[in-house]
Amino acid sequence: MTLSALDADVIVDQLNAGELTATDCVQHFLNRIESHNPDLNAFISVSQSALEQAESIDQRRKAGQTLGCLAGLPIAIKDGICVAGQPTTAGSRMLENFTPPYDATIVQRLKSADAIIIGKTNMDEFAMGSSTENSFFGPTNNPWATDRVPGGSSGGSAACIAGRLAPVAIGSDTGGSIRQPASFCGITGLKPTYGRVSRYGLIAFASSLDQIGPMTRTAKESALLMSVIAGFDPRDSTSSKEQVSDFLTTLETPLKGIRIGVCRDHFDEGLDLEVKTKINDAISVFKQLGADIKEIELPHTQSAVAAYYVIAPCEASSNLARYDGVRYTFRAQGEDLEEMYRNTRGQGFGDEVKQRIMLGTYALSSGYYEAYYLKASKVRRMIKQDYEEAFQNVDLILGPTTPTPAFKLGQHTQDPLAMYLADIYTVSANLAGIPAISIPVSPSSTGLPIGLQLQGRAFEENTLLRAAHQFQNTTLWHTTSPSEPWRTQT
Amino acid sequence: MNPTSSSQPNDRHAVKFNDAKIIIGLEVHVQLDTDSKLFCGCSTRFGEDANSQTCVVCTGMPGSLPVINQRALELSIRAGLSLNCQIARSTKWDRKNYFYPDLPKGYQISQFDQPICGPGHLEIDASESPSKSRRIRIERAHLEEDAGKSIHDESSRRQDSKIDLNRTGTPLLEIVTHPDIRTAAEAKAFLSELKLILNYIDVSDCNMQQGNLRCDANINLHIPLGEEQIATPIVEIKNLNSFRAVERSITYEAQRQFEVWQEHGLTIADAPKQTRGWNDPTQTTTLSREKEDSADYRYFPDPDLIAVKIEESKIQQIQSQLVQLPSELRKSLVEQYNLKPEDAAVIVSQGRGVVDYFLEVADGCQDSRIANNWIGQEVLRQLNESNQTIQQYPVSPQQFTELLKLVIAGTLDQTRGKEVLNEMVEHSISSQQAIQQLGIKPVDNNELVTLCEKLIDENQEVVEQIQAGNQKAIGMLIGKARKINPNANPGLIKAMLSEMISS
Amino acid sequence: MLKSSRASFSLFLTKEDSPHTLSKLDPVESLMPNTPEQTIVNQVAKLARIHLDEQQAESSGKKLEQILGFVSQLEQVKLPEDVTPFFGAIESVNAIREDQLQTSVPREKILDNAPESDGEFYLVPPVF
Ligand SMILES: [Zn+2]
Repeated sequence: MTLSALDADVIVDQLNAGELTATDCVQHFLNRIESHNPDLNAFISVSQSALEQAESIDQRRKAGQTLGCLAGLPIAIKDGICVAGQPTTAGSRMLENFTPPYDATIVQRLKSADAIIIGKTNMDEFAMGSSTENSFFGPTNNPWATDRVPGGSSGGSAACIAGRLAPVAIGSDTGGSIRQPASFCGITGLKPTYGRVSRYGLIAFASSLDQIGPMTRTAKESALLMSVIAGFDPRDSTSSKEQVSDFLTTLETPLKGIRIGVCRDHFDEGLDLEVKTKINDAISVFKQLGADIKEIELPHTQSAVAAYYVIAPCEASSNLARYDGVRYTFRAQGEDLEEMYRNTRGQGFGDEVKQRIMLGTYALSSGYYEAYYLKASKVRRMIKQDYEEAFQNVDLILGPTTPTPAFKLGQHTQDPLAMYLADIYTVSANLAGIPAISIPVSPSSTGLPIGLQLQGRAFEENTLLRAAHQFQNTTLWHTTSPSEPWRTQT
Repeated sequence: MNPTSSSQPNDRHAVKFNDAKIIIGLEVHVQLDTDSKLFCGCSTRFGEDANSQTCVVCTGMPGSLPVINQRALELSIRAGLSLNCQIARSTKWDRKNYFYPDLPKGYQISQFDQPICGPGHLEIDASESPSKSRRIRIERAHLEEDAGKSIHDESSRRQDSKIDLNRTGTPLLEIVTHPDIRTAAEAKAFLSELKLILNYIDVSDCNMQQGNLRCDANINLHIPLGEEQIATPIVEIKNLNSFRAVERSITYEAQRQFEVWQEHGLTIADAPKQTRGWNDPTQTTTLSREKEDSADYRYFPDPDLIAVKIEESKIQQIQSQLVQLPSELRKSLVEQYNLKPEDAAVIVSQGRGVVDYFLEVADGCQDSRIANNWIGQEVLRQLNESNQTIQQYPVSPQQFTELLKLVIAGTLDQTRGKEVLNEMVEHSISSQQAIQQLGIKPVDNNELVTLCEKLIDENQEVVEQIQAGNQKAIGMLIGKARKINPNANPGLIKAMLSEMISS
Repeated sequence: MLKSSRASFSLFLTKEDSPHTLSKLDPVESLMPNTPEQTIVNQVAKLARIHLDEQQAESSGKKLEQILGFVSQLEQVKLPEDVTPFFGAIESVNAIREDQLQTSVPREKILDNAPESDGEFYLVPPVF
C-alpha cells in the first residue's frame, strides 16, 4: 500500500516501529504537494523547514529519545491559525506578508507531540465563505471534480486530505467551515464543543462561534488529533476546564441502544433528493448497528441561518477593525489618517469580507442593536434550549451536512443568499456551542461525496467520534479517494 | 440655529450670572496600581522606551486573546467599597468600537451595562461653608483598558504621527459622578478627596503628571428666567490633567455659557452635547475637532471574555481588609486627639504615612496638641523643603517622641528644641546626641541666681522700666541672659528675675 | 439595553425605497444622511472605514438590502417574555489570571509586521 493510502494512526505506528522514517514520510507528501497542488491550490504556503524537522525527529528516534505521540506525522494547518515565523494570511491580502511572532496554542500542542507542520492551507478570506472562492490566493478545487468547489471556509484543508496531499489537517468552523467542506470532499470533519479547543492563535472571524477542529479521512484520526489539541488553555478565557475524555479508547464501544434523533425539518424542501436518499440509507446502517432512531423537533433552528448572519457579521465587524494599516503589513497610502484607513480597508479586504463588515457595522450601530444583535442572540438562546430539550431524549442528532453535494465554481458567487444556505444544517451547532461531525456516506450518482452530520451534547465529542467510527467500521465510503488524474468536469 | 425657547434678549440680559446654578458632573479615569496590564502580562511601568512593553495581546495581534487580571478586579472592588458603591455580583465586558491609531484592536474593552461598581457616594466639604459636608453621588465605576500614546508633530502638519503602545491595556477605573457638583471649588474638593482615598487604599498613586488620574467635566447652567428654569446646552471638557485646570476650566466655561446664552438664548433642547478642550496657555475652552460618527461606539458584549461572578464572601473579605479612610481618620483625630478640624485635615491630607507618624508620636508623648504643632509645622515644612516623603524623613517617630518629651518636661524650650530637631535631621542622630553636640546642659540653680543678680546690677535702667510696669522689658533681660548662657531656661529666668525685681 | 431602536425592519425595507439605496430612514444619529445622495451604504462604509467607489457602493447596497431582507425573518420569531440573550461561551466559570509580569515581545519583533516604523514607533499619516 502506498503511503498516501495509509491512515494517520497506521503511519504513526510504522514510524514508531522504525518501518518508516519521518523524512521519507514528509518527502512523500511534499512530492505530492509539488505535483498536485497546482491543480488544487489547496496550500497557500508550504513549510520550508518540514524536512529538517523530520530529520531531527529521525535522529532523536535513533538516539532513543522519547518522542511525542504524533512524532513524524505531517499535518496541514488552515492558514487562519498562527504558526510562529511562518506566513499566516487568513486568505487575505490584508495579511499577505504577515508573520506572527507566536504559535497558536494548538500549534504548540501539535509541535510538542512532534507532529510536523507541512504547510498552510487555503481558505475563504477570514473564513468568510462556503466555497474557498473568497481567497485572495485564488480558489481551491475539489479533487473529486476540479470544476467544483471544495466547500469552505476550510476548503484547502478538506481538498488536501481528499487529494492525499497530507495525511491529516486542522480547520476551523464558525458556521460549518469544517463540516461543509468535509462533506463536499468526502472526508471526516469534527467541530468540537465551543471551548473544548483553545482559540488562542486562531485569527478571529466570529469569536463566539469559532472553533478549531480536525479534518481527516477517518474518525479514528480525528480522535487521535483531538487527544492532542483538546483541553483547557489559560490564554483563552472561553476555553473550558471540563475534563477531556479519552477519545481513542471509547471508539470501540458498540452503538447498541444509542438513541439517535432525526429532525423532519432537515429533510424538507431545499434538500437534494439524492442526498436525502443517501442519508436515509445511512440511517439504516445506524439501525443495523443497534441505534434507536427517534423523531425530534428543533423548532427554532429554522431561524438559525438568519440569526447566524446577524451575529457573525456583528462580531466580525469588530474583530476585523484591527486591520487598519498601522500594525500588520498591508497599508494603502492616503493623504491623512482617515484616507489611509479607508484605502487600506477598501483595497486590503475582498468583497465578501467588506460586505459582512458593512452588515455587522450597520446592525450594531446606534438604534439597530436591539432589532438585530440582541434579537438574534435571544433566538440563539431558544436554539440552544431546543437542543437541550432534544438531548434529554436522544444521544445524537443525525441529518445531512449540506443540502446538496459540491456546487460548481462560480455557481453562487453572485448570489450571497444561495451561498449562505449551504450552511443551513451546520450553523445551529455553532450557535448552540455543541459538537458536530460530518462523515462521508454513499456518493451521488455523479460520483460526488455526500456528508452526514451527527450533532451531540456539549463536551461529548467522544460519542460523536464513536458513532462515526462504528459507522466507518461497517462502511467503506471514507476509504475511497478520487481516482487520479482527477476529473475536471462533472 | 434658532432657539426653541421664546426668551427675549432683554429678559436674558436682566439675569445676573450669580443667579445661575452651575451643574457639574465628573468622569474620572484612574490608573489602577497593578504590576501587569489588564489583559496581558506586560508591565505597566511608566517612562520606559517606546513600544518596549507590548506583546501579541496588547498590540491586538491577529489571533491573540485577553485574560483578565485578578488584581485589577480586586482593586476596583476596594475602590468601590471605599466610595460606598454597590459591588456587582456579575460584571461583564463590552467592546467600544472606534478607530484610532493608538487603539490597536479598533475597540476598547470596557464595561457598558454591568459595571463592576454601581451607585455610591462621597462626602466633601461644601464650598459655601466648610463646616458642612456635601454628598456627591457616584453613578458607577467601571473597568476598562487604556489606549496608547500618539505623538503628533505640531510644527509640521505633513509629518507622520508616532505611536507608542506601552500604555495600551493599562487598567483604568472610570468613576462617573451624578451632576451633583455646584462650584469649581467643589469639583476640586471632590477630586482631592477621591485622590486621597485612592492613595490611602493603595488603589492608585493618582500621579497626575504621569496621567494616572485624568478628568472630564460635564457642565451646564440652570438659569432662572421668570417662572422658568432654563438649562443651557451641556459641554464636556476633556482631558483635564491638573486640579488647577479643572477649577479654572469650570469657572471659565460657566461664564462662557452664560454669555453665550445671554447673546443667543440657546437651551439644552437646541444643541447636542459639545466637546471642548481646555487650552492652558490662553486659559479658555475651545471647541474640539471631532469625527461626526464618534458618538456611535457600537457597544456589544465582548465574545472573547466571559462574565465575572463576584462572590459575597470575596466582597466581605476585601471589606474586612480595608484600611481607615481619610474621613474616619479626620474624625478620630478631632474626637480622640482633640485636634481642631482644620489641623486634622492638614495631617490627613498628607497621606497615611504622616498620619501614622503623628499617631505614634502623639501616643508616645501623650500630648497630641504639641505633637500636632511640631509635626504640622516643623516636620511638614522640612519635608516640603527637602521634597521628601515621611518615609524618607531621618527622624524616626520614636526619636521624635523623645524630643517632644524633653520639650514637654521643660528640659528644652521651644527654640532650643527646634535647634535640636534641625541637628537631628541634618546629621540623622538621636535627640540625646544632638543635645550633646549642641552643648546643651542643664543649668544649676545657683548659677542662675548669680546670672540674674548680675543682670539686675548691670541693667538698672531696664529694671526701673519693669518696676514702672513695663513687663515687656523683662524680655530684654532674658535675651541678654541667653547670650551669656544659651542653656539658661527662659521660663526659669523670667520667674527668677520677676521675683528679685519685685522684692 | 442600548439606545432605543428607532428604525424597524419594515421601515428599512419599504417598497418605496429606490432599488439601490437604503436612504429613506429616519435620520439616525450615527448614520445621519445630511444630503439625499449620502446613502446609508456610504454612511456605513464611512463608519467601517471602507472606501467604496460608486459602483461598489451600488452593488454593496443591493446585497446589503438582500441580506437584511433575509434576516428580517427574525422579527417574526416569537419569544417568551423572559428570554435572556445567549452571547455564546460557557456561562458561569471565571477566567482570570494572577497579576504577574510576563516578558514582553522584543520591539523589533513587534514592529517587524508594521508597514511603517522608525524602529521605535509605528508611523501613521497625520491624524488631521
Ligand atoms: Zn501585552
